[in-house]
Amino acid sequence: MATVAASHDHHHDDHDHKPGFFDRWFFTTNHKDIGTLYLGFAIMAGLVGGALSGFIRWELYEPGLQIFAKGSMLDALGLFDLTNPAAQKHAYNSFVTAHAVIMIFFMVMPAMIGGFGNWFVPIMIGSPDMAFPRLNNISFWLLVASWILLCVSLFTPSGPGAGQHGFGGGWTMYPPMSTHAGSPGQAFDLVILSFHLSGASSILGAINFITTIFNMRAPGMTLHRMPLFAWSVLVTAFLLLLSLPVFAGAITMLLTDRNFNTSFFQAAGGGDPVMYQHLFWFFGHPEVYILILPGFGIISHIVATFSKKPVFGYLAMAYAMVAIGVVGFVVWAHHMYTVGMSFDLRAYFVLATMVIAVPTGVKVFSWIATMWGGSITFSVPMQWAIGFIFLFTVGGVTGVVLSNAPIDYSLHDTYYVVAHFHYVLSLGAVFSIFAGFYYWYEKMFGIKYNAFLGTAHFWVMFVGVNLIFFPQHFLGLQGMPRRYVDYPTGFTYWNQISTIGYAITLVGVIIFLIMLVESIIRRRPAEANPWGEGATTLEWTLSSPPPYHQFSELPVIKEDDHH
Amino acid sequence: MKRNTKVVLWLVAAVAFMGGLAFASVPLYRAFCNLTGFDGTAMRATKAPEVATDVIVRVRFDTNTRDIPWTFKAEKPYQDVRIGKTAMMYFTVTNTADHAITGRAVFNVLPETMGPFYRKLQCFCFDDQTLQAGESKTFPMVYFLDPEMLKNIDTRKVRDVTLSYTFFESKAAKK
Repeated sequence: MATVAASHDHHHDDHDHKPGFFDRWFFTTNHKDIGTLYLGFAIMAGLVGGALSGFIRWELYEPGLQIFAKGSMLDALGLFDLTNPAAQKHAYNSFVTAHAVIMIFFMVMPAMIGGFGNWFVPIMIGSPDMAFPRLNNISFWLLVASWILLCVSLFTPSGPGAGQHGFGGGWTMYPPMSTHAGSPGQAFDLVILSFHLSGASSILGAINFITTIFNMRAPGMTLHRMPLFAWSVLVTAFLLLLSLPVFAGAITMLLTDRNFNTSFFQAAGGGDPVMYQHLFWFFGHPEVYILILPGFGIISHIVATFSKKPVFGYLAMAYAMVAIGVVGFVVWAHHMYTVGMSFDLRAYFVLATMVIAVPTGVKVFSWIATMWGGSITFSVPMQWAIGFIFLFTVGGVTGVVLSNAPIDYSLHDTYYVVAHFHYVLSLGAVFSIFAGFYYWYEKMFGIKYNAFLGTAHFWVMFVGVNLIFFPQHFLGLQGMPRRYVDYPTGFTYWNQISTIGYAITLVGVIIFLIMLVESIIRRRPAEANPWGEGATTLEWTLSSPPPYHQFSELPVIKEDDHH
Repeated sequence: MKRNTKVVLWLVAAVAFMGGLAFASVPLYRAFCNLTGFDGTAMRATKAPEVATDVIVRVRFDTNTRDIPWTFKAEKPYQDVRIGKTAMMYFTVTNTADHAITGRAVFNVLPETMGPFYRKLQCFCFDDQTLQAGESKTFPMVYFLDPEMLKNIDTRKVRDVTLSYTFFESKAAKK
């Protein structure tokens, strides 16, 4: 079947002219190339962040200090100062912090928004490119600069003790840990500047996405006919736009507290450290929806495609995401029940938090209803999508448990919380990224992957991550706190199971890399639409890979052929 | 391009507004805390209540210093007071350095929910205090516990309150 793009190529050959290597990958303004850059960046950052968590799990395999100790494998690398006990413990905490920051800001966000968002939002809404292609290029390279600052901070003195490098105060960066007294070295200043750059990158990206989606839809592509992935990126972009400036403000205040003797958060000058927590979580809570919402969009496409049915309750699905985004702005203090809020305030935040379960439930219900009675193909992306629905629901259930202030009093900062947010993010968001990757791989790169390797990757990873994080529920309920390098011997058993789970997950990641290499070596040519009649969005009307510039003639969307 | 410019201007305005809100939140939050006693901000009062109750609460005093060469002590570690009755406690501060230093006490009440009900009529913490080299000063602090606390769901069962002071070197005086 001749595709729209293929027939265009005959008439406008010059349109598909690609620039040379350096111009193409360093100066590109093409949304697909920028998407590819983002995806490559995310894979690289994901491997680094995953390696950091490997050292954490390795250390926690046994009580006592083994890896963050003198003469260990890590010490042999010579990169980290492990000469005294305080520096060893600090190194662990700076690993935990860097793991969180890298996974959130340099892996999930670039993959979902920068990668898939750039690649498919313009195509899905029938647009030739983003509204501001050069701004798009700036967004990507700001992120690279931000990454470099973060990596440098890991090797910069932090303190307060001798030999302590890298910021160890967690991704939440609460004062007084993050004030000059808590971390006197330059490491945290670098982290702040890194966040400023990545924040600027995300805000510019958000402006670009919103303008593209509002102004550049093809004729007939009304908002209510727009595919759900484009909807999810639109809602995400608004969350970024409204929450990141608050975060930027909060960390700027930290920066001036540290360097210019202000007292926004320093009790000595009449400041209030709890104020920082409010500002941080006003950003931080929408941030966790920023991480998961594009995943919701991806999963909706995959479930509909492989059930060969349009998605159940399209409008409810779109507005559930809007509702999650709106309510997500008024629940922030459920991260800080233990700071001593009044009963009424806690009651409000419990209630508001639980309300979020309603639109989220609508989404899970609609995915299941989409599958119900469908002609289901268990292709690789569909396996990942079903895995996502299962794992995300588990994380959602523990989320409802934690939303209760009285329960949270005892579970706050335990491994139960760690298990909860890894189920929704590490498993939920990451599984949706892999689902999207396998769903669009042929489309993006024009080559087929080996489905057996994809399936093996799924099952090994599925077993591995569950083995890592499910036992952490037990550890949390037994009272094991987060962010400590050591633990009492009573917690050994489940920690060992968890570390074994990490080893299995590592095998899964290796299978993923083999899958990539195998597909690149074999170069089996892709089909324009490998998924058949279920794949109805515009990207499947183009060739694989799509022409360098698509839609020289805009597609016209009719009443009956949307989502 | 006109259409895009319009959308971008709105979005940039939204970013500027939210960024401004982050900074505006600091004075707003402080005003809010002072007004409501939120988060353990002990409240100033100008007038003592007319009726005292029979309920007795133990008020503990915690005194600290940070980065300032002063010693700081309460006359007694705690005091049992009737809710609604005006009480007084003496605090003694000594400058152990060989030069004059200006300090400021920062205070907080635990449990935090007691903030609105711990009301001070007179306190050395309202202003900066300057001590000459080796000088010792005793300050009275006059306060009462607001009987309204017995009607509040968070505080009606509270019988133990800690008032914590920390003396810092005054930032305003340092400059």
